[in-house]
Amino acid sequence: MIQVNGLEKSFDGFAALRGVDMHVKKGAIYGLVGPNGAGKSTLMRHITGVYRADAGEVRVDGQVVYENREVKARMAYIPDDLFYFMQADTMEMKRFYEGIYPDFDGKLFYRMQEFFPNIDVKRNIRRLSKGMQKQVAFWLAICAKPSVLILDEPVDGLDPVMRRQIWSIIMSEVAENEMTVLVSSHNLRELEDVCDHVGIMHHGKVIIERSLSDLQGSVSKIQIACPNGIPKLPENFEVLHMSNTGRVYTMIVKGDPKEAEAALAVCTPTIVDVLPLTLEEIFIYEMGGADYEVKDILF
Amino acid sequence: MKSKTSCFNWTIFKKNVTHYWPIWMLYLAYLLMTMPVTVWQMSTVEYSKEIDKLSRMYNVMQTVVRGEIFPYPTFIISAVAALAVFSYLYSAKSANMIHALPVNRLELYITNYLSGLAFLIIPQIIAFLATVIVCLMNEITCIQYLFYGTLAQMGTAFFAYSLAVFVAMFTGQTFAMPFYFVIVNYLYVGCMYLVSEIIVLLTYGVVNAWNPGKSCILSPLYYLGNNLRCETVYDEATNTVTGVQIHGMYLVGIYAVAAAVLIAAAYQLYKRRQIETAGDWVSISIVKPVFRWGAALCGGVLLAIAFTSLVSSACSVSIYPCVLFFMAVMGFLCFFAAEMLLEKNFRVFKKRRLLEWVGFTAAAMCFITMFELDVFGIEKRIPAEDEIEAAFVNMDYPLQVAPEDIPTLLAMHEQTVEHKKEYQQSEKQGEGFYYTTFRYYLKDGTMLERRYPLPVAEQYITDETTPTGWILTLECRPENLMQNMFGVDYGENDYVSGQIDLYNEQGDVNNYGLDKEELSRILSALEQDVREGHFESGFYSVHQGNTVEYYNSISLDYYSPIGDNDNWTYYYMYRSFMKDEDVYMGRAYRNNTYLSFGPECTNLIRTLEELGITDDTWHLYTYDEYETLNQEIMVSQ
Repeated sequence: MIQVNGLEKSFDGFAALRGVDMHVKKGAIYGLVGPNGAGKSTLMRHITGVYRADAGEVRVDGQVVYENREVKARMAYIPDDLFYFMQADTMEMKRFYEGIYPDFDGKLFYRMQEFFPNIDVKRNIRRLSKGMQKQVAFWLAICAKPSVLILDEPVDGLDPVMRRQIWSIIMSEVAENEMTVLVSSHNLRELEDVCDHVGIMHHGKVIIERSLSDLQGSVSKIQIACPNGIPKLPENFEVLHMSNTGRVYTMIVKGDPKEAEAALAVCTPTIVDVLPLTLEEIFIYEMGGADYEVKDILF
Repeated sequence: MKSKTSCFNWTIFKKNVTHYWPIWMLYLAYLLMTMPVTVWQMSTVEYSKEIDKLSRMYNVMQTVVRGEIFPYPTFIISAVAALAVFSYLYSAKSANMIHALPVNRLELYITNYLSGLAFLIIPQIIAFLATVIVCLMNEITCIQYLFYGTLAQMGTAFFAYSLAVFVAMFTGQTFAMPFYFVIVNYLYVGCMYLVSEIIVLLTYGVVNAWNPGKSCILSPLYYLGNNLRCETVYDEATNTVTGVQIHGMYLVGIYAVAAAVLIAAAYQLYKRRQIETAGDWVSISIVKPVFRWGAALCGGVLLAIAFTSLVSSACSVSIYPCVLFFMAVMGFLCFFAAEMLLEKNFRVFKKRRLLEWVGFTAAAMCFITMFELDVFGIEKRIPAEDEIEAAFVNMDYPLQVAPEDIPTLLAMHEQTVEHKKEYQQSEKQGEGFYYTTFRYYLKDGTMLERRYPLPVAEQYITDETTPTGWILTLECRPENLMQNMFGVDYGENDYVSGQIDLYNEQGDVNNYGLDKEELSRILSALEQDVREGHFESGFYSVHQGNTVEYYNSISLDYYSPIGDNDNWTYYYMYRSFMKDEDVYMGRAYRNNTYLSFGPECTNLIRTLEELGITDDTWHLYTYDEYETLNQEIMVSQ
């Protein structure tokens, strides 16, 4: 659904995107993660047709997005920093979106009002709290009936109940209408619950792009205690990280977890436990491999 | 639902109209006040009803149309409207939101452009219709002028708004846009003024290196402000108002064509605009060096001129090194201030920029030095005799040099240039010198003027081969003196009244009014005195140390066929005189001359006695005598 090929962008000589390649399938919920300054928001602004690329292209449903009204009419974007017109209330913004988005569903807007009971639709949006403003953004975006929803830090500022509410609405849209969702967030625990694909960005590039299950299947955490000290692993396993507490060693290993367990059985361990990694752990260890590790700081 | 190929978006248009209503409401209120309300007010004022109905009608219309075509409010509202409708480009949040919507830039541009234009044009139409109604209700039927005025106003608004939109595309900063708009409107005039001021500062004799002409069309607000005007048409024979005329309508046409170009150019800029430049002072990257260098050059020259003038007036310093020093310092400040704005950072003193500044300073120094060395020959420029249409020289008073004297005048001018150091020295030391102007109206329609400090020491005054001596001789010629006293065509004057101040021994004053007969005789006596050399140039006499003048003076009122025939007016507005343009109201202009005279004017004194104007009671007193008389009166009191 979304294809990004060799995308490059520089700001006053600073290369923010260095040949990004990314592919999001139709109906997928794609989590875009990466450290601060990796270029996630810049990439999203290219995908939504805001920025013009220096090189490369962004296609949605096979069509170039930039300056393409037809494609953009099927996309909705909720940025991290929202903008509403001065003195506009929710109803006015609804009328604006209704005029702009050809598929805007006015009836759905009223049906969804029950999901947002705290929003006073006659109140100036700029006077609503940040979380409420975000709710309005979701409300309007969903009513625009997009085939592609782009979310930049979507639930930032929302309370836990509203987070659940919003995700449940999104999931149902994905399930019912095969909506494609591209979401960027630093809340990896939450992404792990909703995403089926993940892309990790670093230094203006997507360094890893896989389904979440593949990603979790390729890295595992092994806790092992051997009578002979440090366990020896076959050479085809890449140990990303290793630490120990007494005789118990914890290793982050790249490779098939089952094969790893079988290989370690040779060491006759007293304890061996192979655990799947959380997305947050995968991110931390993968970024460690890309020179972005958590440093041990000594004061 | 909008069409897929539409270039106009009603939703955005409605949003603009409803969100920015204070702008068009304010403009509408202004127009209503200056148009229908003014008509109504002027029509109901009592005294207006007393004057001729046609004159009243044209006067009302002239006042309304003059207010209507006054360009400044239109330019201000145009800038505000452009700023409002394109304000989304000036914040990253709004720019991202708007450009993520399913509208392309052409649609955004056209919709926003038309929204802003509607803020101007619709109030103008409403005000026009309202004024028509008020006019007809008050029996003012010459509404065609109102229509022409509205057309001029719409053309001005079309241009001003298009220019504002064009300027709006150059920046990503709300505060920068109005600043740029003002600069663009005065850029040409401002730059020419600065160059001219530098030339004046550094070049010997140059008083005014630039005369604003038609090229000022490049400074739109300045040019429209000076050339788009509305006047009533007078019939000189009957001295009545016969209509209203709008001058400069063709200018509105020219600017409207320019507006069309600006609209296309602004769209091209918008199309190429990088949205991430929201918040930047300059959003077009290739313009950034222009901004930096322009700020350094204009700011540097302006401040250098100001500081040099301050310093040179406070102490005796050489102008050239002073200008160079301040140019380097002020250029540095302006260059890096501009860079700070561009970078939004105070730490801009990087090697590359410092080198750029060095380059700039070297270029600026060369630029200034060229004028100091008179590379362009400005200082030495003396027109050839066949280039000259008319020549004037102005020491004590302006006088036109007779064609046969022009070769001598040119030789004197050349001598003045050659004696630059000598004359500048006397000026610097504050010794006797007199600023003297050489003004040439050239056949190509331009004017060349030079002003020099001519020394007035005895050896210069008495030597007719020096410029000072020669000019003083010219000043003493009866013909020139007569023109100075009674105007350039004094032979055609129709004297209508006159008055002389007389004093008695008690210090009382008698403002004696002269009748036609007395006027005629006094004028003949005055002319006789002039021809006999009894009226000499004031300065010449002062320097000879023999000036004794009466405290009494004569005042004469007269009409001239050419209106204001004063020789100063003739000197400054020679071209208008040659085009036979009425300087002030044609024959209706009443001239007045005020004459001082002394005991040397024997013909005049004798005539006054013969007419019985001066007698045993009423006397003429010299300044010294009058002072003595006053002292005696005070003592006796």
